[in-house]
Amino acid sequence: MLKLLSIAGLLISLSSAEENTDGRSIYERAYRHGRGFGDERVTAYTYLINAGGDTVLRKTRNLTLERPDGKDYNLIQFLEPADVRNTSLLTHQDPKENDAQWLFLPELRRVKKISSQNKSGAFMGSEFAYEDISGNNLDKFSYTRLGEADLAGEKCDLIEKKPLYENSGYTKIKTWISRSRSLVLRQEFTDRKNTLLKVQVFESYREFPNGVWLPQKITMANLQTGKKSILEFKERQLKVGLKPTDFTTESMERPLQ
Amino acid sequence: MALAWAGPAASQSLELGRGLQLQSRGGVFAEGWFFPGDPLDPRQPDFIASLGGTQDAILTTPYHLDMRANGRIHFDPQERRRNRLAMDDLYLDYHREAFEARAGYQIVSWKVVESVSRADILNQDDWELDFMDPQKLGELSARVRLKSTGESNQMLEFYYLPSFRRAMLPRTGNRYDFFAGAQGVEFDPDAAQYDSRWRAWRPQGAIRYAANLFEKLDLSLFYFNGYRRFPTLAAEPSSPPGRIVFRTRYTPVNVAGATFQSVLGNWLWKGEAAYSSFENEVLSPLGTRVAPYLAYTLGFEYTFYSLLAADQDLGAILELTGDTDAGKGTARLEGYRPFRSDAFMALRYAFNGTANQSLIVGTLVDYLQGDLLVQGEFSRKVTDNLALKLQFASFALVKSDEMQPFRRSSRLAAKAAYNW
Repeated sequence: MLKLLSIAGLLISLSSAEENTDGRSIYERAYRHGRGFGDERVTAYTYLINAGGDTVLRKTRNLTLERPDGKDYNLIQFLEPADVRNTSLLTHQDPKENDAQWLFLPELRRVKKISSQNKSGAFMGSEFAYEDISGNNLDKFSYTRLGEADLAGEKCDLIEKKPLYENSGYTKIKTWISRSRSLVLRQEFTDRKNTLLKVQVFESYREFPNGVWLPQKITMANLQTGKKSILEFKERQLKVGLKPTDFTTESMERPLQ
Repeated sequence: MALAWAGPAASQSLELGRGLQLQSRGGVFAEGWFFPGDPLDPRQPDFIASLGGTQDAILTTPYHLDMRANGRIHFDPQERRRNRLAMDDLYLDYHREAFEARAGYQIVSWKVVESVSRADILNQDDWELDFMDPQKLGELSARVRLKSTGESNQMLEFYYLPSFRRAMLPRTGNRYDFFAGAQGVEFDPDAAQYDSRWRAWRPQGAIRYAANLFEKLDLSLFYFNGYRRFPTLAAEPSSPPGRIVFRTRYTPVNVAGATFQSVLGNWLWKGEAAYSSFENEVLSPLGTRVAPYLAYTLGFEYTFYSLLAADQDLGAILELTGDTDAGKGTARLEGYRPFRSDAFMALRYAFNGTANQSLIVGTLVDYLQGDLLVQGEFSRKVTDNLALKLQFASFALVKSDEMQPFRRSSRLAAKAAYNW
């Protein structure tokens, strides 16, 4: 009897593990589609839309250097609005610990070290939280495949991600991944009160060399406040020859071309 | 040569063709200061209105060479001496991966703290324009920077300044006149005495090493040789009977120091220290030799995220600033030396919305002398280009002799700025 129970327990645990592994492997295929770009220079237009439909624009020039183990470097320099032009945010990502971040304030000529602990905080006043844009390293989440779903006529795998890092604003994230293209199409974020908070939609995927697929438009809608942010990428260039020296506190002081 | 505006009309980026790009930003402002207290000197105003503007243009080329011109204008209809037409930056900047060279008028900041900087010693300040928040002045200098390539983030800089620029100090009639209310005292900030035969043409130099260690600690070490930026106010020995004439005295110093910044969770720790020694022998009014001293500012910043509402943060700052001569009377020093025993405390509430609203309240207290300064500021963007700011600065407690001229110069200020 005991032997039967132990075998049954082993079978149950194996099937659970298979489900998690299946979820992770599906998500990993989609994740890999967004990697391998080497480096990137892109102009980002972020439209902040309030519940009344009023829109403000934040324009930035973004540089990214892909590095081993997900420790990417990222430099964001504001182009608009005028009062924050040339303000720069430098991030050295760390999948295991808090990212290292610096802020360059051109009026004061100062580079200030800042805390990246507030992952749930809004980036640029948008509906994108810092944790939404700081790189979704695979090891930061656990994955469970919930099943299949249909999204606008496209068959998708439905994956539930749960953050493994501290200070996340989410308890879980439901992700729709296209079965035919292995691309993330939609994510739903549940907040710490277990209420649906935001919906993120990825559109206009474009293929780049080396099998890299990147979205040209990402929309994040806050279902609780009625606000929305739309992020559009233009003038995207990959493998432009960026180096680690382009991501230093000294390089923040110079306008990006 | 093809010309094209890059982006919508609000953008300030102009493609000039052949890889040349001109980026610019600027703005205009109108500001009013009101002083509720009666002035110590009838020549001091109760109300000051100012207009001003800035324009900053950077030309980038495909030859690793940039050119920058950053100028400003300031107009005070009441006090002509507060009018300004200045170039803060006018330089050429050549930059490669491991090497940079910049020459011309430029402003450099080594500051990491929020209150009194011990490391910002290269540029002169304009105390006459705003004593409470002095504007840095561009200095003619050359800078060579050597940078590490690869993964480590290290840098070594060399500075050469061929000449010295005097401080711009408040004069008679300025609301922050150092000698307001003093009878029989004359002060001419332009009558400078230099403790070097080269006078303003004494060359100055600096070396600075900076590194980011393990992504957690930003550290810099620096050495400077040149005139101390803020002068000693020296009484002229040949002053006429019944009057004391004060002049400014600039003394060459050697300054060696360090700065650091480090983030641990929500805590940002930072500090500056500078060890200063006079190049020539400097005597105090009592005739004793003034010894070298160590000045420092150490502190932290802690942020409470989403404290009262989502995405609204409260930052708390505490800094101690002082030097190893704290407690000594001015008669035993080279002259009045401020910030020898002070504590700075501030709270900043940021609303973090598109209006960029923030409310800041801070105090600076001399814990030995008892002087207390309280400041506050509320700022908000009305549109993407228009911002408003309300400020107050109050000399809430004035106990020391040196602060007496300012005891009635608490002020309220309002500023509207339009940026493009």
